[in-house]
Amino acid sequence: MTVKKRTPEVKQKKLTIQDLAKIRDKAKATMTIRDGEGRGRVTVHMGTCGIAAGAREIMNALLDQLSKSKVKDVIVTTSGCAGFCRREPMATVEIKGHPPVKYVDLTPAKIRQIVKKHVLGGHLVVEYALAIGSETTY
Amino acid sequence: MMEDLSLHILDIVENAVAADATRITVTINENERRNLLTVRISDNGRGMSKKDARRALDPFFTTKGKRTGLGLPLLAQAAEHCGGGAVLTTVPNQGTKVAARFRYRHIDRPPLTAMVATITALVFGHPEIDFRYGHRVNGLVFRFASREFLGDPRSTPCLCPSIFRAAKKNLQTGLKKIGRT
Repeated sequence: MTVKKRTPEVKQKKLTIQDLAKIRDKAKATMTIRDGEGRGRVTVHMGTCGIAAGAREIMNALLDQLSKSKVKDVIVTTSGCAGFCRREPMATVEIKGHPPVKYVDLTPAKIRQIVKKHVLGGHLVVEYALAIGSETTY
Repeated sequence: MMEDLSLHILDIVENAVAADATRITVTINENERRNLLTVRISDNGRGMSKKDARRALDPFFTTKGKRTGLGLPLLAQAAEHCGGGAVLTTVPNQGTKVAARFRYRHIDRPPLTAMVATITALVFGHPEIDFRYGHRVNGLVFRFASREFLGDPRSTPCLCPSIFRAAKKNLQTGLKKIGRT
């Protein structure tokens, strides 16, 4: 009898389905964003130019800061090249009831500040803003 | 220019997102014995016509109404510089596959580096998409599926702090166990 050789799968303590369901239910109870009740949306520009300029670190700093601040009603998404590659990394912040604001030449520290002041505080960070407005996102 | 392969991967996957894919698979295979590193990215997006596919590796071809389209050409160039190459297979309305091969020990081969950052940026930037990530290092395998953390996409995918941390931790420990950080 031949024993079928199997690729060793790395064993690690996995979250059980129940654990995940629990986390999910807890999240759902406090969640409202995708139902349109959210406070706003932050779009990180992830074209080739944005990525080469450091958009990934901006995205991760943004996610980290939002989750540290326990913010759950902000949608985070990406868009392509906005045609202004020289000022990448860029992000657009849209808060409900306010015009969208485009921030340029970002660093992880800047986006953390933008989360604190603009997304949470409602005050636009003038020093980092390019203009008010938005391009099409996908 | 992209500093490492994980950035190229992020870029190509963003293409798949833009092509309206709902399921995207990233597979990395590192095989030192065969001196080979392969990256495969496949999606079920809208694909390309034969005519577009032929020109997709041309840096001055794009479908997005601008002058350049550098994502795929940069990846292909990096692979070719390392004694490998990139292959694009696509079927309209069914999806696209990109496979890039690198000589593992080639002096010019970019390092992979931050796969955790690439995957978290993708998964939490597009929680509605079903991401699967498989990484094999000399026979050891790590697998990750965004659905395990985000559940059914129709039931409010979210940026929930605990889910974000759980997914990140899972990626970090999983990659560490196969010898990648």
